[in-house]
Formats: sequence, structure tokens, C-alpha cells
Amino acid sequence: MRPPIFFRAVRYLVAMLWLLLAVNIHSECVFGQEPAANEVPAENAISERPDSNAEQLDPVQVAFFEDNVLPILKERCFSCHSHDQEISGNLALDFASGWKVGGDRGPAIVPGKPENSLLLQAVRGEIADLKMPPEESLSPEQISTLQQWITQGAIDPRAARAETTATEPWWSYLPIHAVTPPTSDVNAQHPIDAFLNQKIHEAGLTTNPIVERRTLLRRLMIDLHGVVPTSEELIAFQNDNAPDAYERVVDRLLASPHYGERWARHWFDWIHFADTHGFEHDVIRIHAWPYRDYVIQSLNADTPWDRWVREQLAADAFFPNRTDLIPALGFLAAGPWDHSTAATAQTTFDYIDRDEMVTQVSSVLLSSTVHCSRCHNHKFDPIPQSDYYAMQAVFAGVGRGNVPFDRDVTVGARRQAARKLQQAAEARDASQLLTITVQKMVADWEQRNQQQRTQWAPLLEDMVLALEGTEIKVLDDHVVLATGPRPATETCIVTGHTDLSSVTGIRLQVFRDDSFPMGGPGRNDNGNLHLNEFIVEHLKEGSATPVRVPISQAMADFDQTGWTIAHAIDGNPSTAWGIFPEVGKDHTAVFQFATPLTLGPKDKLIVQLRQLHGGFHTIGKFRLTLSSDNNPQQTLLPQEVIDALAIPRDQRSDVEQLSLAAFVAKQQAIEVLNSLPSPSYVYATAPQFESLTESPFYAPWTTPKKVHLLKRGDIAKPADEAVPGVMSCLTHAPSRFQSETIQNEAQRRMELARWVTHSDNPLFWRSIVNRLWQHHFGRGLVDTPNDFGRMGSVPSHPELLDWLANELRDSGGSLKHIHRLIVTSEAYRRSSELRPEVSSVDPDNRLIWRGPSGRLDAETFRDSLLYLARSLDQQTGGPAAQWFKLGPGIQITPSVDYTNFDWSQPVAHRRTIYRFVYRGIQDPFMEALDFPDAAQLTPIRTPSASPLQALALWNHDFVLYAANEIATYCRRQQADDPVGCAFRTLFLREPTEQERLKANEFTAQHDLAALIRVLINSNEFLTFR
Amino acid sequence: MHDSNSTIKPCRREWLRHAGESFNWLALASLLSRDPLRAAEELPASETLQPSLGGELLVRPDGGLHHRPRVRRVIQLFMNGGASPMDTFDYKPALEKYHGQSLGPKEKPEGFTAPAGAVMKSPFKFQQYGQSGRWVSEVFPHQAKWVDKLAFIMSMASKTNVHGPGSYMMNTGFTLPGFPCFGAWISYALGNLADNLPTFVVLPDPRGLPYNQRGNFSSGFLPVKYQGLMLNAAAAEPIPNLRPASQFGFAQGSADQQGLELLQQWNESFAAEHPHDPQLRSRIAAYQLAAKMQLSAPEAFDLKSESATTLEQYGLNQPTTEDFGRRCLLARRLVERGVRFVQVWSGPQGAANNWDNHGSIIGELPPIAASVDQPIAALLADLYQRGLMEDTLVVWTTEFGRTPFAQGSVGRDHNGGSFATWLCGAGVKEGVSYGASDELGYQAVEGKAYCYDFHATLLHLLGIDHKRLTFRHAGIDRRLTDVHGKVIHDILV
Repeated sequence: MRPPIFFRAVRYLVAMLWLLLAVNIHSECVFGQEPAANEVPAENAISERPDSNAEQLDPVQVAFFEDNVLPILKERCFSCHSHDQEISGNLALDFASGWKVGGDRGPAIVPGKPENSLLLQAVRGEIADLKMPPEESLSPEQISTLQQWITQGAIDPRAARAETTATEPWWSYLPIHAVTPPTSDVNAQHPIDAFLNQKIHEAGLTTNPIVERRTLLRRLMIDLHGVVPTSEELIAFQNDNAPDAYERVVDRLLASPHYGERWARHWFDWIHFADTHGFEHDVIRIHAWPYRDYVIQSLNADTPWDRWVREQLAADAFFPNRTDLIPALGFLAAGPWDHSTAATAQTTFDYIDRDEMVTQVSSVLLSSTVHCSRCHNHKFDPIPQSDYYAMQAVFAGVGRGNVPFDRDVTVGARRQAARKLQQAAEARDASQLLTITVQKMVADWEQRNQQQRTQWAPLLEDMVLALEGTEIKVLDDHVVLATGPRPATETCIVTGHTDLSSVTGIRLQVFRDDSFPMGGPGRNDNGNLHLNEFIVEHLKEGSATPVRVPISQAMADFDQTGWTIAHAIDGNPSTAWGIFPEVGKDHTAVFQFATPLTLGPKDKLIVQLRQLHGGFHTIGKFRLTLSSDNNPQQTLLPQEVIDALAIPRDQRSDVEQLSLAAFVAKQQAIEVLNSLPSPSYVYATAPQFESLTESPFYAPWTTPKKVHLLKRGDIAKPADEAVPGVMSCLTHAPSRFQSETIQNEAQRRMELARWVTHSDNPLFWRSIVNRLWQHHFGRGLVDTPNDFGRMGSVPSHPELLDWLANELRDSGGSLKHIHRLIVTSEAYRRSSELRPEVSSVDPDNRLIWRGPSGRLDAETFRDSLLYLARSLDQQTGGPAAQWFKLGPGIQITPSVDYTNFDWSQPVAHRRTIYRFVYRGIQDPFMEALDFPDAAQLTPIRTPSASPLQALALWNHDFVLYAANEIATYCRRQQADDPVGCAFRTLFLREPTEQERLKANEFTAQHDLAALIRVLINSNEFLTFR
Repeated sequence: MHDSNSTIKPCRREWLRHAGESFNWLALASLLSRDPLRAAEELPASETLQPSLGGELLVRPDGGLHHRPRVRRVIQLFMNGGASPMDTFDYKPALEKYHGQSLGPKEKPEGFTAPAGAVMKSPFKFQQYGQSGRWVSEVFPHQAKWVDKLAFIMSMASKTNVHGPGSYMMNTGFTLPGFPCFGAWISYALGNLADNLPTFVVLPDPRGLPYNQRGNFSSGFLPVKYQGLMLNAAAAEPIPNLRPASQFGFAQGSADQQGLELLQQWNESFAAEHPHDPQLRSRIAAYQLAAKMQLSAPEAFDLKSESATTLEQYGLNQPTTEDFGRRCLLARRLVERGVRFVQVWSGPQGAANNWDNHGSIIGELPPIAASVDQPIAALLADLYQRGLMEDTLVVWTTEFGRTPFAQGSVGRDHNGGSFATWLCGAGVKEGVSYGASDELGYQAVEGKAYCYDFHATLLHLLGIDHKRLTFRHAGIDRRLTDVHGKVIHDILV
């Protein structure tokens, strides 16, 4: 016979409190060099756990040990002699029993006898093969402290080691049980109720009745859509007499896009998503929002849970053809990013940034606190420090930035193919270029090219001017050579004529010459040149005013990275074409006119070559020629291609054929790439990304960085290099990745994703069903959603949790299936009224004898007001809605002003999910309603009631604006009974006689909006029951 | 099999988190009964407020959490950017001797913005003051007169040389975001002294927010309501949403007052329909307190009642000191009226108008020092004169120090190795100094103290054992002092 449940609860409570008082549990889990122990007295929770004899120890001696001895042991000995790190020579010094029993050489200390104590002999260096610590001796003061301690009896209050790796397996690591719903309650129609009712009945309690439809619909719509229903929606539901009326409402709500908009917000709380960096420089991430839209769309599409997570960890690797899934990679980039540390403390930064990713993956997807093992083995869960660094190593090849992607997968496929071809061409990869396809491409090109071999005629120069003082010589063949002084910049103007009657383009050839540094063709010390602008003008016979000839495109045989020929025609004098590092060689650029230019016999062409960059980046030797062909660019051929073309195809060597193929393939690839629409961008975590303008110092790297296990979490104390892997306490798959997958960055993430989403990973499936349950009922079956370890709670209904996890897995990962199961249960539909006789036994509703209740959260409150005013914008997706004024900041963080915002603007009517979340400069109104700090993962919001919140609800501009909007709606909709309309709109009911009396009296004196302000602030509206 | 007992586990953290119900009761209890004189009799005898909860959070009749407090209110003056110790309070004659020599680290340490230059002596004259003979540089002539009342910690150190993490550390005890700041912790632990004003007020420099923006005042994983209320001291109505904006005509005057009365009536009848829901009662209480705040706050922020002499003493009549002086005076008015913790920031983020003097110590430090010096001295005098120092603590802090080596030719770089702070007021020894930096002022060598020790000392003065003030978050019972912290008893009475 067990004691009544109430007494068991009290007994448990007493036990818990004793534990909390006795064991002072904490752990350092944050980056930064942990100060050495003798500098900062760190008390170790386990080692300081008081012995049952502690009271009998002399407190002066205990204090001496703790203040003087323990810091020495921690700082100089623990790294090799403690349970958290390693136990060298089988000697542990983190507990009294460790030195009492001793290691391989016997007890380390003989109390009262320093001369007989191995430990003291070792630190004094008296034993030849046992000088400790091996790297650097203790100071004389430290040795004398130890000696004094031992002489006085080696008083050590540290009791036996706490059980960090208990032998009995912990519930959350065990495989998910196959469970069938109990049959004890024959009235329970729904499997969830079968589980719940059994415990309720066992406790001798009764459940609340099913709630009436008004309360139920309100509860359901807040839950699934984040808005309260309109009175029309309620009437429709009340008038539906079909037995499955409720189920159809559930189906309709789950099928609506607003379901995803509502539940995405929970996800973003969990993963601390925001639109800015946070930290010292809180820079805007203008491309964060595509990830937000991706999450909403995935929820609406009911993407299977395991697939969804695989996408978010490694969509690029798993689904390379689905370029539209790249926004999924925003998951790992959701959290803060420290610009300053990235700029000035790179090593620290790398470990912090990967810590961010490890924390998010383990907390959100696995409900585990792997991040607690950064400085030492986990104190409570079987998670060694090496597991933590193994997970860090998974992310050693990825960084954060703007990642380009194609929403249209056909565009994406073409872009990928063209890039691949371009890369093959640049690498001269015969295996990809001497294929039938590419050879066909080459043959086709050759044929076209044969037909269109461009003829070039020289521009016959009448005058060549150099404005900055270069001496010009015109050589044979109309080649212009710069000699003499070397000005920093130069503008060269060539005026000339031609016999051609029509010109379609102009060619600039620049030539190497031994008279230039590095052989030129530029006059800079490195042989480079910069052509900032290339301008052609047409001077008609008899005219005094030259007319600019528009150039439609330009192409060069070589472009310096970032200095393409396009810069020479972009009208921007601060950008230019360059040819570094391909110096000492001839180069060619062709400029195609927008339309063919008709020339009279005495017309002139004036060509300006503006070389304004400075630093002697001027052109040393060049020639201008003209073409009348339709497509003059076709003939921009490097010498080796011209040579290859001169040989009949069947007589070419492979090398010759390859250089031709490389040229053609690259040209075609670039043509395709130029024809494609610009890519979209998402701020995400990936191996390749574009650095943000503010942080050019942070750029992608090619091979994964080395990650070391850090002793005490200190970057100054790297130990062995970490092998990529995962938590070793789970057994469904190996915890360290195979060596062949270690080198490849993408495979590391894929391995992680496979391991996380494995059908036998018990944490992965339990974690999410628990979170869903939590948001439906206000608290999870495990009420520590980010921690299923020993410091977390145990499930209130373990069988139900496993049953739900199985349901999710076996339904193909459908989250909507779980939602539907939960909200169609009787438990969900029960009245939430507190019955003292039951709540005295189960005050926290752990048995779920009553339905959920609570306060509207920040988003629901805001969206509901607009929804009821019929002015909530139904548009989905797009850039984040900024409900503030941005101004220039002192540094790169802008100023953000939330005051005096005009709420009547269309952008203010977007759903709150589309709000721009400024991580470090939060919206005070949203905060007043308990919107969490996006600097941290928020598995549970904590609703509050404070005077400042009351002031915000009563006086904030938005609320007053919305009150007025709802008043306008009511006056328009029901001019004969606006007061009744106000009650029906906000309370979904008619006013009582008493209320109507008061309301009429009030509105006789004041505006209807003033009444609506009261209704909005009332608990009947602000809470759901 | 799982333990079938597990269905009901009302352990401590559940109450704490279970905000909709019991926790709001707690909040209500806090708000109504923070005055220790009233605490004992006014605690509601609700069944949801378990007596064991008091072990962690209920204030003792003497106003402390774990022991008798010496301090009930705190003003923190935060010098944003890293105030140079060797040019203010940490006199280093050796810098003269080594001036121009290259003694600094050969490689750029992590977080330095540039490689260390040669040793640079302070461009300012130092002089001894008071009976304690404390050396103070000429940039602080007013504070110098108060050295016999101050307790210095000359051996503060930070784990980082970067502003963001450094500011987080001095405010929250951690170098990463997401942790509650000191003010949030004591709001959570002790609540307010009066129910008509906010508990924790932040007065940032009107020129801009400090590094980390509002992250320095965050409640982190504690409930959001414990975060600092950031006020614009120069605004007409510093407390936000105190009144409806004038554009909303329907919400003004008697519509406002009668509307609030109607709201309370209807909320009362709604609560009567749901008599067992404590959430409804705490929401009603919140509106009642809001109404009180509406009445009290304007007076608290209205400086008109201050005498011309007072305004002059705080420097409100001079452009240099006007702004910081106003905020110091406001801080005094707020703590006087029961605000628990006021943080006054000197200097915004960025390269100018703050204590981050990379470019030129001689050019950049004197103006910012002058802007705070007289107001601080006036604040101390005022607090003593009004008897508030009986239970008020004033602390002068910054996030880290600066290098004894030059940056460029005449600036100094960030240095977490050593910096100075002082405390003044209730429970603190007068005219003492604790710890020391090395000969150059580069590293703290004697009595090295981190934010943990500093915070532990402040909490101790407030009647809180820093090891026992915890909040369970993500599997860890988090503390302001992490796993560190030692009360610096040497500077306490």
C-alpha cells in the first residue's frame, strides 16, 4: 500500500530541497580563458560536497585547506590527477579518498608526516623519476603550504566522488519503448487520455469536464494560429452540428499557412534566431529572413521531422540539386556573432563560434547539455569532454556569412553545371573537358567561329595625347608605346579614322615589353595596369561636338579577381580592369558597341583610356583596332587557341585540344552564368559564404580547421586533436566518425545529421514531441525541454512520451500528426478551472486533470488586435518588417528608435512573426510582454505581470492605435450596437445587462475606442482559459 | 520501468518557472512586501507560495536574503570603454623610468587591437590626497577630495581584452551574451524597496548605448521583467508609457481615469468567476501598481524641486558636467524613493566621447574625466548629507584597463590585466585600498580580483550569499559569480 500521492509529493519535495541545499550545483560552461585556480578560487561542486564528517573537522583547518591548498591542487595537479580530466598513475587528487588510497605507488600523503608523503617528495623533486608537476615546479611558497597542511594532519573535507557515471542507465538514453495505451479506463476513447486517465484515477482524482465551444475555439486558435477567433468564426463553429465539427476545425487550422507562422515562432525562441549579430557590434543581417520563411514553409509542408533536421544541418550536402533548400542552413547561424572577437582574437573566436553550434544542436535537437563538458567531463551526465570537442570538430569547416542560392532549382542546376564547367576549364581537367559533350560544344563553336572570324582594321591615328606627361611613341602597325616619365595616373586620348563604313566594336590590345617592370604591359612595379574607364566618341564631319558611343559589353582574355573588364565601362572612375598576376604577357579586351556605328569617310573616332587608379598602374604599350563584324567578341582568342585552331582538328594533340576545350568551355560557362538571374542570399552557416562588408577579415577557409581538446577549456592549454564525432553515451551508431569522412567538411555534417536523426536515436524523437506537448499544454511531459539529463526533470508520463515519440517516427515524422493527436484528446479540451480539492493535491497539473490556460503572448496579443480590427496583413514571407526608425550609429551598429512609430503604416500590419528582431536593441513593447532575449536559447518563455507591462498595455501607441481601429470596425459593422459589437469582438459573447449598463454610461461620455481600450486590457481578453 | 512517483514533482524550479501561477504570486508578494518592515505580516498565506520557497527568495525581515544586509540600494557608475588606471587612480612612477622602452609583449595578444608599443608614462601630474595619502591624477580633482571615504580595489582583472565580452563580464559575470546582469539578479532576489517605481533603472549616456547595446542590462534567462529599465533622462517623461500620447484624444483625461476604474471593476468580477486562479489577482495588482507609478514617477524625475545650489554642485550649470550631473542627481532621487539599483553610464560605444582612449590619452581622457568628476563628488556629498549613505552603496567601475604601453604614439590599448574600481558607502571601509598591480600597472599581481569577487562583495553587502543565489537554467544552477567569487572582506567594515 503506497502512501497517498500528496504525501509522496511532500516526501519528494523534502528530498529535493535537501539535495538542493546540500549539493551546490554549478558548472562553468562559458568561453574565455578560465582563470587559473590560484587566481580565482573556483569551488568544484563535487569536490566540495561536504563529507558527513565535515562537521567534526576543525573549521579553521578546513578553511586553510580550501583557501590555500585546494587552489594549488586545482591549478597544478588536477589536469592529470582528477576525474574530470585524467587520472595519471591512477592517482586522483580531487577527493580525499584519492590521495588516501593513492595511485600506483601507494598513498600519496601520510597525514602529519610530510617527509613520508610521496606527494611532497614529488613536488620537491626528491624522487628522480617522479618530479611533479613535470613541466614547471611549484613555487617554494606553494610547497611550504602543502607541507604545512600535511604536517597539521592533511585535513581534507572532500567526501567521496559524486556519482557522475551511475551504473543504472538514465531514462532518456534508453531506446524508446514500444508502448501500447493502457486499457484500464474503458471510457478513454483517445490513446492520450488512456495514458493520462490511468494516473489521474490512480491518484484518486477526477478530470475537469470538456469545455464549451467558445473557450475551446479560442484556446485552439491561439494555440494553432496565434490569434483569437472572430465572432463569425465562433458562430460558424457553434452552428456546426456534425459530430466531427471540432476535428474539421483542427484540420482546417493545421492546413492553413498561419499554422506555420505561429509555430515557427516557438522554433525561433528555441534556437535564438534574430536579424542582427548581437554583441558589441550589433550589425544587421539583411539576409536572415529567408531562413525564417524556410521554417514557416517547412512547417506548413509538414516536412518529416528527421528530413527537416537533415536539411537544416546539411541541405547543401544531402540535396545538392535542391538549391532552394540552402536557406535551411540558417539554423546553425541563428545565434549571436561577435564581430570584435572575430577581428582581434581569432582562436578564441573559433572556439566560441563552434560552441554556439554545439550548444544549439545538443540543446535543441537532443535536449542534452553537451556544452557543459567544455572545461571538464560532464559532472552529471555521461558526456566526456572529448565528446564536446568531437562535436566542435564537426563544424570546423563551416563559417557564417551570406550564402548565395537559387530559389528556382532549374536556374540552380544551370548555375551549378556552368560553375562546374568553369572550374573544370580553369583546372584544365581533361576528364571533364575531353568528354563527348564538351567536344561537341567545341566543335559547334569552331564551326560558328570559322564562319565569323572577325577581321580587325587598325584605328588610323591622327593624334595621340597623354595628359599627364607620358612620352608617346607610335610604332609600326599603329602600336602606341609609353616612354619617358612615369606619372602615377594617365589619360591617353587617341583620335583617328578608318576606312570601315560601319563599326561594331573596338579591340584594345596591350603588349608586354622588356622596357616595363616585370615585362608589363602595365608600368606599375609589378607589371600591372588599371584601366578605369574606356570611352569612345564619334565626331561627325563638320561637327564640333563629339557624341558618346554606347558600349554594351566588354570582354577580356583575363580579368584580375575583382578587377574585371566590366569595370572599364561602368562609368565609375574608382573601379578598373586589371591583369595581375598574368603580367609579362599580352592581353586583349574587346568592347562591343550597343548598335553598329555608321561612319562617314571623314568622321573621326576619339578613344579615351582613363588610367586613374594611381601608383603607376598605367598602360605601357597598346593598339586599337576596329571591327565591322556582327559579334566581334567571338574572336577574343588567346594565342594558344589561335595556334590550336590553325591545326586541323584530327591532327591536334590532346594538349592542343584541351587548351581549345578549356577556352570554349570557360567562355560558354561564363555566358550561361551571365545570362542567369542574380542569386538570392541567406545568412547561414556553410563552407562557402560571402563575407559581410563590415567583416572582410572573416572569410571561408578550404579545409576544416584543427580542433583540440582544451584542458580546462583554456585555449592556452590545447591537448589532443579532436576527432569529429558525437555523444558516446548513445549506442545507436558509432560516436566517432570513420577516418575517411574526417577530411571532408560536408561529410562531417552529414554524419552528424545521420546520427542525430537516426530512427533509433531516443533523444531526437523524444525531444520534439515533448516540445510540442509543452506548447499545447503550457509545460512539457519533461518540464526541462533542453535537458533530459540528470539535472533535468524526469517525464511525468514516460510511457506517453515514448508512445508519442513512436507515433512521430512511425508516421513518417509528421509533426502535424502529433499536433492533431494532442489537440483532439479530451485532456486538451478540458476546462482549465482550478478545483481546490484537486489542485491542493496536484497544484501544477502534472497529471493533466485540467486543460491549458495562460496569458496571450506578445505575438498573439498584437496579431489578435489587428486581426479583430480586420487589418492584419495576410501576406506571407519577405524581408523583415522594421517597426522602428534606423539612424546612423556611432560605429557600425545603427541607432534604433522605437518611439513615435506610426502604426498606421502598412508594414506595421504584418504578422509579428515577420517582425525584425533586433538582438541587442529589443523592442521595449515586445519585451514588456515577455518576448525573450535572443542572446540565449529560450525553451520556455516566462510570462509575467508587472506594473511596467500594465503601463505598456494601457498606454502604448500600438494598443491605442489598435483600439481605435477596432472601434472604427465596430461602428462600421454594427452602427446600431457598437457596444455589443465591442464585446462580441473581444470577448466573443454578449455583454451582461450590468456590463451593458456600465458600457453605455461610459461611452456616453467617452469614445468607443476608450471602451475598447478597457476590454483589451481586461483579463478576460488577455488570458485564455 | 520508470518511477511512477514521477508524475508529481513540485520541486523548487517548477515553482520558479511556473510563472503563470505561483510565480506571479511570488512577484505580487514581492511587490507588495519588499519593505522589510512590512514583509513579515503581508505575505499572502497562499498555498501556492510554499514556505520552502523562502529559503531561496523570500526576503528576511531584516531585508537580506541570507544574512543581515548593510546595503539596501546601489548606484553603479560605469565608465564605458576601459578607463585607464595609470592615468587616474593607479600611480606608477616606474612608467617615467621606463618611458620609451619596449617592454611589452612581442606578439599582439588576443584582443589587443594593435601590437604593443613602447612604455608610456602618464601625461598627468599625480598628487597625494587626504589622510590616506592616496595618489590621484589631476584629471580627477573632485573625486580626489573624497579618497578618505573610498575603498579602492587596485587589482581588478578581466578574462578578455575585447569590449563586448568585457562589458558582459563586468555586468553579468560571463563573457558571452544571455546571462542576467547584476541588477537583474538583485531585482530577482530582493525586489524593490518601494512599489511605485521600477526596481532597476539604467541611465545610459544620451549620446549612445554602450558596447553590447542593451545586453548589459539584460535579465538573460531570468524572467524578462527583471531587466533594467532603460530611461532617457533628458526626455520629458522618462518612464515609457506612463501616459497615453496626445494624438489619442479618446484616451485622455477622465476617459483615462474612468477607464482604469472600469477595468478594475470588470477584472474583479472576472476574478470572482474564477476564484482560484492566482494569475488574475496578480494581474489586477500589476495595474494597481501601475497606477501608483503614474502618480509617483513624474515627481521622481522632476528636478525643479532641487535647489539652485544642488544643481550647481552637480554641475548642471556647465555644459561639460550638465548631462552626467543630471543623471547622478536623478540616481540620487531614484534611490531615495526606493529604486533598488541605478546604473549610470559615462560614454557611449565607439571611438569618441568615452573612456576607450586608443588615440590619445592626453587628448581624450581629460574631457570625459571632467564630465564625471564633479558630479560624482557632488553625488557622494549629497548622499552623505541626506543620510542615505547609511544604507546606500556607490561603486565606480569600468570593463577593463589600458596598457602601460603606447598605442600609436600617445594612446593606450585595451588591457584586461589590471584595472581599478572603488566602492563607497554603507558597509565599506573608508580610505582603504586592496590589491596591487605590477610596477607598470600591466597585470594585477597582489590580491587579483575578478568580477566574481567584486559581485560577491556587492551581494554580500546586500545580504546575499553569492553561492546561494541561483537559478536553474539548461541543467545548471547558474550564479552571478559562476563557480568563482570570494567576498573581499578586507574592504568591508
